[in-house]
Amino acid sequence: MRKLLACVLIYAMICPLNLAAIDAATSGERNWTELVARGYVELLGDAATLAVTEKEAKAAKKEFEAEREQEKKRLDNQADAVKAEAKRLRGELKKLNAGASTDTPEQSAERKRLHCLIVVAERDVALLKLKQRDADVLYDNRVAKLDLLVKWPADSKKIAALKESGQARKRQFGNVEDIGIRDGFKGQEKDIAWGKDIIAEMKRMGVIPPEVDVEAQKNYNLALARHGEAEKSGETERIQFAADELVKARRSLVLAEALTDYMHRVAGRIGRNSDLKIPLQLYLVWDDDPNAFALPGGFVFVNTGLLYSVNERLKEKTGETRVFGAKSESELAGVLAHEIAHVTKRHARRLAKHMSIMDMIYQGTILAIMIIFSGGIGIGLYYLIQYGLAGIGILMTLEVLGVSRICEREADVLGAQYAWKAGYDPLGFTRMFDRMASEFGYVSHTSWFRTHPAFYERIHDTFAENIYLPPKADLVVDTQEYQLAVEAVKELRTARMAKLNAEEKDAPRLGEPKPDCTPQGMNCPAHQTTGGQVY
Amino acid sequence: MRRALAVLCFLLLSAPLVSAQERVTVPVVVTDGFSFAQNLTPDYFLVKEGKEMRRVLDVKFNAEAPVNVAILLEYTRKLPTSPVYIGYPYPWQDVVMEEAAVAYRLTMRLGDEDRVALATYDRQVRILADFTRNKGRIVDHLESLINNSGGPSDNEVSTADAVVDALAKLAPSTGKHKLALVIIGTGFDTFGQKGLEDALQAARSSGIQIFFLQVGWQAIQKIQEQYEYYRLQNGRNPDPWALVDPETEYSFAFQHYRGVARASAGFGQSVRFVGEAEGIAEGILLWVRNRHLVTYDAPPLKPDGKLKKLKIEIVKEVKSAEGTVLTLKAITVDGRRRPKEKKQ
Repeated sequence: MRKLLACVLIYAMICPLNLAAIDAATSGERNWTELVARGYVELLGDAATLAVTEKEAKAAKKEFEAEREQEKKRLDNQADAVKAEAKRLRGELKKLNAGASTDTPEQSAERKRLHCLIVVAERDVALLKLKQRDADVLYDNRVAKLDLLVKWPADSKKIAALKESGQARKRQFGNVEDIGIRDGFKGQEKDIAWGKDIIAEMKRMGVIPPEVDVEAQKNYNLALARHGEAEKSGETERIQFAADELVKARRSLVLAEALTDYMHRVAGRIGRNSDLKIPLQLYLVWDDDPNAFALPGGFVFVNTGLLYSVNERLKEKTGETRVFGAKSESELAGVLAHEIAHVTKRHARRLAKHMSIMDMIYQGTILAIMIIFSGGIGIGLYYLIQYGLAGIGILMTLEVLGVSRICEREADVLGAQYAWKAGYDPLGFTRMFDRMASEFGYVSHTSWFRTHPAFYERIHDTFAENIYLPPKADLVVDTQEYQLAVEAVKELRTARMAKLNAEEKDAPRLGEPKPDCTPQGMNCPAHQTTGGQVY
Repeated sequence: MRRALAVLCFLLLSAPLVSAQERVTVPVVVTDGFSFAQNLTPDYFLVKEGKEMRRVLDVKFNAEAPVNVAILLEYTRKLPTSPVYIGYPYPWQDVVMEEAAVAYRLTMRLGDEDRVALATYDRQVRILADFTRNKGRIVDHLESLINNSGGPSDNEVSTADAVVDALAKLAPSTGKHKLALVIIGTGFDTFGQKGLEDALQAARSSGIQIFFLQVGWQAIQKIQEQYEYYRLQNGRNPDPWALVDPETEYSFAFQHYRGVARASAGFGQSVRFVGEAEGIAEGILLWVRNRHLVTYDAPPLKPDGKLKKLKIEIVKEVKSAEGTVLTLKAITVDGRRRPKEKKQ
């Protein structure tokens, strides 16, 4: 009896059971909302113990769908109320116009107030539309997580069985311990000249945003020259102003150089621990899109938006500020490793072979490759450029897109391996996908015209690769240096936006300058109804 | 003493009155078709207004000054001349896509310091983005034009109204900034308040260089095919209101607005394939960057509605970097005109 009790206790200590999960599974009472609110990585880790059945998942999906429809209907009703309010305000404006040919001061003030309220109402409608999109994205993510919970335990058993049988290294790129000397990564040096030509062409076309350090240096040189001129003039006020500007420019230059230096170090660390056989050239450029892209020959472009971005267009349309960026150094490293994988595997060359008129229309190919190997170029811009390309003969055939998706999956797997070899937590990349899926959507359906596989597939693949990778001690998740780099981007970006906005004030005008219609600016109420609150 | 004073008064009173002169400033592009002359001084220019020579007072040139380009895109639901009776679906989406692709290439050609504004027009101008250095914002707006499932709201278009309206909006900024107006569209006028003559007058007096890029060639070809097929089948024109066939009308539209562009020291070009847009955009920017502002004196115009033609010649030799003498032409506004005053 004592032996039996001892065995039970030992077993309980060795195999801690998620009692809550078991209770839930057996009782059928789960808090699905709480469950799918957890991240993909966390859920994949617990999927086996959660043991979600297909029947349960189906029921939960139905619940979520009903919730989504309810939420969208609620938002629709709110939007209708705001639109009705806007219509009423326009009616008042019409009455005002019918009243007299010119405005008295009171009428002018009333007109301004009505303009403000109408602009605020239109902005609120845009915000409600955004919230409807959020509801769709939330639903897509919930459904994808449920699917993962159902399918992952079986997949993870297969992986475990493969590892157990000693066959794990037979998978594609399975020989991770040989990174750096393994076969299948030859010929990278042949792409260097091509990459240089592409960059020259892109610079000529002006599609490369300004580099952070180059722009900072240029601004510093300008501030220095202006300070010199101010000193020659002898005007005290002018000298003081120029001195202040010079100090700001100097600080920006120091920050920009430190930031670029940091990025080079992170990229260099990954490059040294990859199958790269050529020098890596990294460019940090000013772009709010959280993205990076690689060109053949070892040229990698990283947008500042990958570290920190604010969706300015959304802010302009809806008043809502949405911030995005990699949360940790391992997430950044994962993205860089992914881009380096495109270079080592020469995906651009493979893709170019599938383009029917590549030799004739060089320029189109450059842009096409840029689109394909960037993370999330806007779909409208994609069609715009595609149309432009179609106008000169390039067709983005389904075959090309299919090859592009294969290349992306290879880059995901190789990227995880390179990050791991460089000492980073390979799940960083998966966490990045998690947040991108939650923020941007496009979770589970790979439409034919998408160049990348759906986020769901990418999360699945990178998590699976993580299981195959041999365990390593002290994998880096985050560093203080990364957080400082993010702060540097924030500060530089704020200074840059202030400078751009100040310059805009001296700009010529095509239309009347927009009135300051923020409720704070005009001291008008945020919302107004005939009876009761709109929202 | 009194006699001397009397003679002086007589001379002063009988002296011919000096007619008031006004300062007229016009943009001038000096080119041989390949290269552009820069930094020319007043002694290089010979100005003739009507048949009279005018004195050049000043010439300004600054190739480094940022360029401010206002892009006007035609955005109308119905391609004019697409006959109602044929039943061919109006391919306005194809035209908008083409316009957006051309506008995109032009935007991307601009330098960091250059600004761009974007507006659409049907019978009136709608501003999408005021002048900005943020090219990404313009690209976003172009994307939204393409993705706008609702499409244009108007079935008519008036390029003349758009030109006059846009130039009026830009007027307060003229003189302080280097401005250019680029109109991308078919050039049709189906219904509006202003006519070609109004557009010409506004163009020549604005001081802003206008460039007209005609698109929609492939859409017009499709409509022409339908038109000819209908005529063959039915023995008559499908659209009784159209005096000419769609292709001819398209050609007329090009002539009209190329003329408007030329009247402002700009040029017009028909964009048959979007790939041509790169070279055209480069040409536009070269014309704007390398413009001289020539100021001359001239008597005020009589309100007789007559066009006083302006001709500017380059009278001194200009050599290229290699030392060859260039055969240069000075391209400027076509003249000045003051509309007839209506007798009350």
